[in-house]
Amino acid sequence: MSIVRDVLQWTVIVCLAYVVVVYGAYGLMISYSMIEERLRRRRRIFESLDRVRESSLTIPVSIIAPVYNEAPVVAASTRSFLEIDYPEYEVIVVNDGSTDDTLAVLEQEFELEPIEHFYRRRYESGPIRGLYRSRTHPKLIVIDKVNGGKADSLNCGLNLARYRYICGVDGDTILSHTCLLNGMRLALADPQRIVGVTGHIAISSRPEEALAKDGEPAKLDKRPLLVFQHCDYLRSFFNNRLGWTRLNTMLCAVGAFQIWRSDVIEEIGGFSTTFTCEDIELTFRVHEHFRREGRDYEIVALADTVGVTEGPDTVRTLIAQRERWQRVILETVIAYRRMMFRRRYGSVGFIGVPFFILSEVIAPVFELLALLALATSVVVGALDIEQALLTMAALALMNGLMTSAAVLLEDRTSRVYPVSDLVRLILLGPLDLVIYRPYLVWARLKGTWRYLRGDQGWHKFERNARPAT
Amino acid sequence: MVPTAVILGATVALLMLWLALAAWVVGSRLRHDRLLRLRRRDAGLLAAGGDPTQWSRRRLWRTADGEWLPGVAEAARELVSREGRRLRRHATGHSERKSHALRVLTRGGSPFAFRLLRSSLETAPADVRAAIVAIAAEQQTPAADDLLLQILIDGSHPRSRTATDLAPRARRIAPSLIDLADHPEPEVRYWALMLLRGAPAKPGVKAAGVRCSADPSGTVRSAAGRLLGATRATDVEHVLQALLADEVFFVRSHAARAVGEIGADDLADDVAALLADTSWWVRAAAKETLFLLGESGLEAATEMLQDVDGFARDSAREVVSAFRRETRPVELVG
Repeated sequence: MSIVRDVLQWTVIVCLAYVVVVYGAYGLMISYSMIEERLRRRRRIFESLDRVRESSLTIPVSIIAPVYNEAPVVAASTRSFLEIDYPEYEVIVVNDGSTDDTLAVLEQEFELEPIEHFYRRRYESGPIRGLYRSRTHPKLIVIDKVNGGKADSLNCGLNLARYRYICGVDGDTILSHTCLLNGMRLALADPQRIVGVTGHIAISSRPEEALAKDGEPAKLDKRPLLVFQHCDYLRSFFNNRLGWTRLNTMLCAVGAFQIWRSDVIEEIGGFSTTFTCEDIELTFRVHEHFRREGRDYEIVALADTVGVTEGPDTVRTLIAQRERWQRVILETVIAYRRMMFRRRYGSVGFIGVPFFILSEVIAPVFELLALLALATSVVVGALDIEQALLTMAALALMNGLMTSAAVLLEDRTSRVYPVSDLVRLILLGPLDLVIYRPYLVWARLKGTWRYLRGDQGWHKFERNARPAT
Repeated sequence: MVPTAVILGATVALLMLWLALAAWVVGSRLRHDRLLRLRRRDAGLLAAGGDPTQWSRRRLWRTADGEWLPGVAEAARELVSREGRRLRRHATGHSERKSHALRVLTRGGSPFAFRLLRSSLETAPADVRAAIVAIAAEQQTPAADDLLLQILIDGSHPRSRTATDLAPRARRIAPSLIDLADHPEPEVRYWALMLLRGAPAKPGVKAAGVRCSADPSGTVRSAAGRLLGATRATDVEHVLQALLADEVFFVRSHAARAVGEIGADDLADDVAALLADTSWWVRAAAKETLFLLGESGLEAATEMLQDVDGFARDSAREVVSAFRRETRPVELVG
């Protein structure tokens, strides 16, 4: 019995040490995020988006949106891309061999007509079946190609992109009207140095209904599962990415909104089709490339909500999505492990990658270990039920603190959600540990297991059900 | 293993922290909403002819330091007349109030405002310099124009951002921009030419474009090409023809677009020859220009259908097929 107690004691000590280290790292990152947010806010007080909007000197952008079986949302998302408030841009929708009515919906909604267009094939991509231009929206080009995955579609779109900056977006994302103004405002400040920009994406079960009349995100989804996901996104974005920006170690430009300078993408050979997911890998590759060559550069995260994307509204689909994310993280971190603790890679090697490993890669192992240790301690009497509950409450409150910090940072930047929504987010923060986190632990363990088995499938989750119209 | 009291203590401490943070979030938001509401109401009152002389200092500051609305200048003027000395002290200091004080002084028309803005430029950190540009950009006065031009020249703020704020006043400052087209620094010459595109009809603009078309810097020559296109002058064809054969690809590309803008039918063959250019950007610009030229573009493209270069043939085919589909693409017209 004493051996069991000893093992338990050591397990608890190890888990406690992990908790202290990981929350300490989070705390540090939040303080960096707060510094970054404060600096940005000080600048924003004086800046006027109107002058950027009216300027003929803004840099044009090519939006590339790969779509695969997105028939229920593709019309709304494409319309949101076309309604963006920006002086000069084009929209390239790449239909990646959808097996549903995606292309038909686009043809009908935007009056597509086939065109002949010869483009430069800078990047390898699957064969193109047809090119279309909209009669009603001259900015819109639709490419119909054989299925090849998201990275392949982005490469295909890059081959047709005309402008110096490209913005990769997800086909199910509804972008806010000001997303490019906000994103390119940062790029314009230093186009030589800023090579990539990403932004925070909100979550909704029906993103097409989540924007207000002025084109900005306006309301939280009613379902708790979606609100928990929203909190999760807020934490990951405002607590981490803003801090990473401060340290110039932004490790993941989200696939739903990633602006890149096209010459940088060309230099590194486009999006990689050998990884399950393209966004995080590309960000790592850009860091690796620039740091190896000792060049000055920056990838920045916007402190603005740039759009709303569809989040899974069932536990099964949530687990499928997060399981894939875990595989993607593992794939990328292991592929770029050479960057860790190498002086050449600076803050990315010494802070970014280790932080990622600590908070993402090994987290599910410790989370499982902590749960088992807590339960066994109660069973063998090493911990009474009172102590177990108090420990859980303390951890829940830690999560609550993280969520509240993220809500504070988000609200100070955008002020888009009503006070009632802010209160809801704050109150749900501590409940995250017992209601939402267990699913994530399961998904991450599953993802780790599948990664070890060599699974590289996308396992796209089904679209959320929508009422018939 | 761990005494219950310790866990309880930690939990209570965390609970207190969480409640405090929650109160901060909600309180900060409510305060912000109220401030915005009061600011807009007070600015509206002043815009409608209200008298600010009886207002408290706090109320004036709140209105004068908010978003740029009608009525805000009145509040700033009243505040400057009452608190000018104190505002100047803040404006020369290093606290966070510096930018705000500079803004109120400038909005209130203080005679010291632009001198303080200029002196702050030399020592202030990047965020204050950004604020100075934004503060000057609100003012449509010669002093503001001069300050923005100075910032463009010395590069104390990213030139692309300063140029964004200068663009709406390009017509007014055209003479200064024409002078800057001969500045020793290529980046300044480039931005001067880019800004002159907003004043293409002003005397001397076309001559500046022609002069800079022989600039040693490729970026300046490309800007000169773009400027000549914006002038819509037909007598610059020979200059554009030279730029079409420039050694730098983006100069050729911008020159090709400029040919389309001025509608130089005589250069259609020169543009069509660029369909075989080594750079994709040049070929793309040539395609668009041939399309924009109309009949002469179609003729030149048709001749290229027999070219030995595969790229040129494909591009010519695209132009010809586009002509069959519609007269001109909407985004290229004008």
